[in-house]
Amino acid sequence: MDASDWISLGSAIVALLSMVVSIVFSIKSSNASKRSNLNAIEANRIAIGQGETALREQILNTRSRSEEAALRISDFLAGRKRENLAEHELSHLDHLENNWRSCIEGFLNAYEDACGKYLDSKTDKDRFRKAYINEIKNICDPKRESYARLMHPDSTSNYQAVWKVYREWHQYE
Amino acid sequence: MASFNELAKEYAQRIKQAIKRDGFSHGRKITGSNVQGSETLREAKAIKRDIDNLVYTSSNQPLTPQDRKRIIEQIDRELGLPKRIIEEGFVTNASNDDFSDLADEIENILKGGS
Repeated sequence: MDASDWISLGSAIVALLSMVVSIVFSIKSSNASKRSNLNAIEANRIAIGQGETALREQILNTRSRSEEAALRISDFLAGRKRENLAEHELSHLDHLENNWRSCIEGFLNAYEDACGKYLDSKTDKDRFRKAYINEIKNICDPKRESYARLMHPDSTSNYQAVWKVYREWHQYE
Repeated sequence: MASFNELAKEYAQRIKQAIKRDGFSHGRKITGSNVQGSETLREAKAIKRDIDNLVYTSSNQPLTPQDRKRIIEQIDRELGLPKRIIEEGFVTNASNDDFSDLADEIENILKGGS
């Protein structure tokens, strides 16, 4: 072999090595990408779980506030009817009633948030449906007087996310 | 603690008696509003709470979900109900029934009812 043959052989070896190195890095990069995707999926799953827990906590907090407001009304009236109250007592009852209505509004707001997250696919759809189906049905029930003031008629209600979820689950063509 | 079968029989008996008190029978059409506020629903909720609070006499630990499910399935068989009703509706769903009942009661009081 003369010098030019050696140079050609050297070039070929360098090219081959370069190809091998490229392949090795490509495989490593692909594995890293897969790991990164798996991590992203896991992180997303954890974020969804934390989000669902936060929604449930928000609902429980507003429910507790409402239960306290109900207890205050019940304690104050102690079996008496509105018409038997003195003037100053009526004014206090009005205050308690406003507080009660505000609590119910907060309670429904929490469900509106939860349904909004469901519609934005920020929760696990199957799990959400299983957990909330009865609760949403109760809220949209026209016989539930406590919610009817804010929920009905559905076309003018501020809780459109709740209604959208209700229709998705309970109304069939 | 009584055996699971004995407990299930007792619970099923309580539900049957509540159904009888409500006057629900084969020939009668029953709607959602009939069930709402009924003795049957109240008894079913009470039984659910009882089952959730059961503990093993040996360890004083709460029952495992599998054992709770076994009791509920046995109640299901005692009442002759299809299995899927118990599994899908009775065990896994969260509920605001009691709160909604309370809220309606408060609304009623505020309107001047008893």
